Amino acid sequence: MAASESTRITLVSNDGAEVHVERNVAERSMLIKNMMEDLGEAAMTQSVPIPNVNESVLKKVIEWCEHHKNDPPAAADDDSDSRKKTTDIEEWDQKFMQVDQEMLFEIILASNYLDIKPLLDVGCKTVANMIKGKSPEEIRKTFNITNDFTPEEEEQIRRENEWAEDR
Amino acid sequence: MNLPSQHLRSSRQRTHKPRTQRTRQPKDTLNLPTEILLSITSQLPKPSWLSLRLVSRSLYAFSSNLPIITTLWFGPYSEDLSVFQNVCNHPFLGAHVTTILYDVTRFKEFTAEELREHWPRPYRRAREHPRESRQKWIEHHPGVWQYLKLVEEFKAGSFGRDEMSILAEGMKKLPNLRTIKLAFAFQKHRLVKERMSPLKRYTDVEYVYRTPVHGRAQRHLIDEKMLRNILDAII
Repeated sequence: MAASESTRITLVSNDGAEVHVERNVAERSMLIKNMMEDLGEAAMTQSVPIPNVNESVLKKVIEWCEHHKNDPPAAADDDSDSRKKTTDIEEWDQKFMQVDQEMLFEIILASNYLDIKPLLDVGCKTVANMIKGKSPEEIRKTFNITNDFTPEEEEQIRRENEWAEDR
Repeated sequence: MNLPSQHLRSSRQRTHKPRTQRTRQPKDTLNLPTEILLSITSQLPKPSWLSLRLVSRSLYAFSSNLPIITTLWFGPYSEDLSVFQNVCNHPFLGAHVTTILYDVTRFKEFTAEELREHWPRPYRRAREHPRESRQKWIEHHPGVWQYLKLVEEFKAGSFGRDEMSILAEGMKKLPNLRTIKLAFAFQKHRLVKERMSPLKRYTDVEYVYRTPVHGRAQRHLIDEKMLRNILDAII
């Protein structure tokens, strides 16, 4: 066990960069963890391609894994309501997520692909906090989204929303 | 001026975007896979869901995944009936409805004199001002006026016509309906307090129910025939 923790493996991003990382850090990713188990010894000598993630994003994701490498494994009932409705994010993660929007969404997509649930969770909470309390127009501004409704469509959706408000 | 349309388009784009990002496609950043959007929206309260579906067509389409309406009111008032039918007929809003709250409150129609007799304090002023005209008395007692309005609305609603067929038709379009709760609008500590009652605008009317009125106003009961109809509709 002790030996494998210090073992380093090599990941290759989709833009061809090699990233060296401790195995137990990389294994915060369930995708990589499963791959390692499948590959066995071969994983030590071969590099592992990560075809959906570029170098800067991969490094950022690994930075997170590094900081969280000693986190206890998530409880089995982690999907319970207690987790769902709180948008609290611990301080280090908040700072970690202070990146431009494009990077933020890349991190979310990468953590989804690499199957790093706690990081995906932090990313989603960050985006949720950017939406919370905002009007549709403010959300459009925040995320640079064009309003592609006709005025009639918009009016119809407003009416639908009224059906929902009382209920 | 005979500019190629392509040129026109790109120059227009440039006015929106800073020069440094010119090579990048303007990107709708919230254009994420549904499962990720779902885990974002699971962190948000319903008002945010309602805002999101007003942002763009793609987010509106995504909102079909959200349980925006889970409980639907069915009552004898035209406004409630039209919302009920609209939700049932909507392409996706009805899919998340699991519960119908069936308002079985029924009103006895009182004459103004009877109301005057039975209306509780502080509104009962009949004895204090025996000569007050009927119209004046009603004007001075907003609760009474609202009650009469309510009875009027109730009579004009669809319950007398085809209540059961509207309910049954609607239910066919609610694939996830599991429960029908019978609701009494005047149960103060339940419906009124939880703001589910369509009568919440008429809180004064509660007085009719709260004080003993010699058994005359307390006819908000569901009788056997009504229950049979409901059960038939459910089956």
